[in-house]
Amino acid sequence: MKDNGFDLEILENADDADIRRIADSCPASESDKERMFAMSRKIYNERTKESNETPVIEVSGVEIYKKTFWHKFVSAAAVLAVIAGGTAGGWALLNKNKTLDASVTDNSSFTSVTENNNTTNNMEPTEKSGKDSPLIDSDYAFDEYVKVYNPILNEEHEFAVKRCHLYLESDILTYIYTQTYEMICTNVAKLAESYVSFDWKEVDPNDYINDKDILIDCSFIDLDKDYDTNYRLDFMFYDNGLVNVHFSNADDGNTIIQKSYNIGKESADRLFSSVLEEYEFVKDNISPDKMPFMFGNVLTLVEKSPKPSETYEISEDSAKNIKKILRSAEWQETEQYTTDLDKKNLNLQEPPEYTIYFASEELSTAYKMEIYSFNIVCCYFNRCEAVFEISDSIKDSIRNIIENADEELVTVPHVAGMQFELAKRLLIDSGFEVFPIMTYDNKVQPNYVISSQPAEGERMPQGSEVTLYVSKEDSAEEFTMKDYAGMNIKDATVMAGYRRLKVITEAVRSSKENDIVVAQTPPAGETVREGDEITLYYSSDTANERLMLSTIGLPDDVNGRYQLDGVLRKTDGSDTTYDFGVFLCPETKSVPIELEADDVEKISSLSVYLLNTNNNKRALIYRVEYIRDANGNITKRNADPIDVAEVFRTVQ
Amino acid sequence: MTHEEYRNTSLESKEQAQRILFSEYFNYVYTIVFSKLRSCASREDIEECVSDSFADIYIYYDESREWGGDITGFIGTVARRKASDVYRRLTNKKISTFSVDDDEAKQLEAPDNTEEIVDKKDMRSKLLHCVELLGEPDSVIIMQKYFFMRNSKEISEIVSMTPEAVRMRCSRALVKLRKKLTEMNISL
Repeated sequence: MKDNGFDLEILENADDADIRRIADSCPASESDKERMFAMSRKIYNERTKESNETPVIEVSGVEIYKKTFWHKFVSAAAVLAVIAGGTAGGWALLNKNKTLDASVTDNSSFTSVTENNNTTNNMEPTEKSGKDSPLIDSDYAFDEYVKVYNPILNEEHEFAVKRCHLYLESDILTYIYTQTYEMICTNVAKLAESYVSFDWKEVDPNDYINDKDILIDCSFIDLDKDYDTNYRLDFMFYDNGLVNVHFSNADDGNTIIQKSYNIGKESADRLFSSVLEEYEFVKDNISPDKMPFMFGNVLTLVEKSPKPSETYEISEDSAKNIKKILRSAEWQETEQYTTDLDKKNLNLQEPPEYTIYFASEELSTAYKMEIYSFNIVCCYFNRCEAVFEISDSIKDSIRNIIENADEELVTVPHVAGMQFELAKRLLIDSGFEVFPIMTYDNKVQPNYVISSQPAEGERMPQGSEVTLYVSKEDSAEEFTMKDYAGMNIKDATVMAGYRRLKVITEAVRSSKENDIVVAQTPPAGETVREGDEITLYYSSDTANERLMLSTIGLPDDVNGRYQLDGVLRKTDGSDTTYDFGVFLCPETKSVPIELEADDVEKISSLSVYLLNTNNNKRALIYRVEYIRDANGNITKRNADPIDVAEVFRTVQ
Repeated sequence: MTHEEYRNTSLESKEQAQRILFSEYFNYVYTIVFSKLRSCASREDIEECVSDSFADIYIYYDESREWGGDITGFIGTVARRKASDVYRRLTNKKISTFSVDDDEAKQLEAPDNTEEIVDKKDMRSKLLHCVELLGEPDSVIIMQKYFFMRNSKEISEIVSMTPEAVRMRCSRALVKLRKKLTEMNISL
């Protein structure tokens, strides 16, 4: 920076005393210092191999973050998905330590299935004590695959099991499907495996109309496939044995096939009883001390009222403490709110003081506990609700943990615009884990942080993950421009598009056939990069033709850089401005005054001005008027001749 | 901060000790590095060099057994050497070697020109004095702008003014400074 040519360069090699004087005005801000300190620590650690640091996360080759897409997908899927039959066995076994009636558990062709199930649950080992209820759902089943029989194609296809919802509706005529329960993923998968054993008889659905149906709607979506090319299978089971099957395959020309089957009353009953029993069981057994089973490796969110409330993750330790308290207390279901409506209206009276979510965001609404100021706790589990009384002492202890947990939170520091290594070090030092995503950004130089997620200033528990979006090296390739002349404009556009050039097309008049590329900028042979612009000029009859009205001869004895611009007045009174370009004198001898053909037809007058670009002085250099008589004849009338040399003198 | 203080603090927390050391000498080290590299390095390079110097200093503090008294000189030396390394790396100046028997060797002069050095030192001192005479915030603005090469926006944050006000004050201060320098018969 050498404003006004002034620079304190002389201070560069100052001696120690002067350096100290200069050091007083050292401009580094606190954040600069902090950054450099973090970096010095890092270099120090590297040199001394001090290993008490969090291992540095390897970053290379990290690709696009797909989570958002997923969310959309899952929420879309949520509208559909559901369950299916099987027997109560699975569920019963899951609950073998509970006092579930033996009659429920007997009939079980799926015993083996569930046993298997039990061993694969990702409960914390410590939770497997006899006292505990295995009211477990877990993310783990999310990426499992299940083979589902498709009666339409008479084949099995693998679907990924994701969150599954169950809708039970007794009055089909209302067409209002109230979602009453979400079935446990693992069980959904296992039950779905039984479809193949049903006796699928194709029937006419009209023979089976029944206006008092219980409905289980169960959909499977092949999530490996792109959303646009989805592969989806829906089952709607009715309690009289009717099954409507909907199959769509977008890969195959968006086929949608709908067929109805009868699987027999017996199979349907088995299917329904298993689902309903799971539902009933959950409804009867839900209580705050069982909710903590969701505390595992999944995050726990706490929401504090009044709203707009803050929601934040609490640390693992705090979660464990809450869990301890919840499990040590005795819980009595309150008589006050027995009907579903009562429960639903609960949070209308007053928002809950705290809401504890027991699962990750995607599942958070399924597993939560609301604590109200009037000593009431409402638990939600897979859409079941139960209301309990809570004593002051328990509430206070939970409140203490939550309030303290708030203080344990760490604020995400400012990292945007920082060098990636520094930002990473800063975040790791603050107790975060760093998840870098390399992405191209033309505003941020490579290896610098574009932004962070969560953003600066948000409070998170130690150890949570911060996603850093890091600018990566511009990977645009350089290549030699091809010659597109002579090609069809459409072909040329596509081909240039393949080279990732930004294509601009412009129609021009030429002797060539229409739609043939006649010229291009930059010309062939030039080295260009991906993302550069290319202008293709193609021949077209309809292109605006430019007509030359006149030529302005320039004097030889002037020097400098000039510009000609004009104002064109049309017959309708509107004005158009023209730029006839910049030229250098004395190199340029004459400047053509060209107008677009369309404009020439409507011209009423044209004034051209000369501009000296050095001093911005301007003067009229050419003027012409057209007079139209009643017959449409046009007479051109040049204004009084203007002495060009004189005009040049006036703008000096 | 003496070596002993560093030792005692680092028994409790190494990071804390380093932090104290860092904040105490940061301005000094930064200024040394900046002076050396301002003409050729980017701000990131400068920051890296500063961090690098401090890392060296920490290591030295950890390892050396005794170190009494003021260690500013030591820190300054580390910073100067680091800065010179970076300067050489960035400017890619080749150190050519000559044989003493060569004819060229006779033409080589000692690079130090004592007279000039003394002159410059005197001039620097006067210049700094002139700048200081401007008083705050003008002196700060002038130093930030013409030595530390900060733009008006950055300076505005340091002196808590709007960037426009900084620009205005800066141009006025420069006029004043030039006048003072002329009075003292200094030309830059």
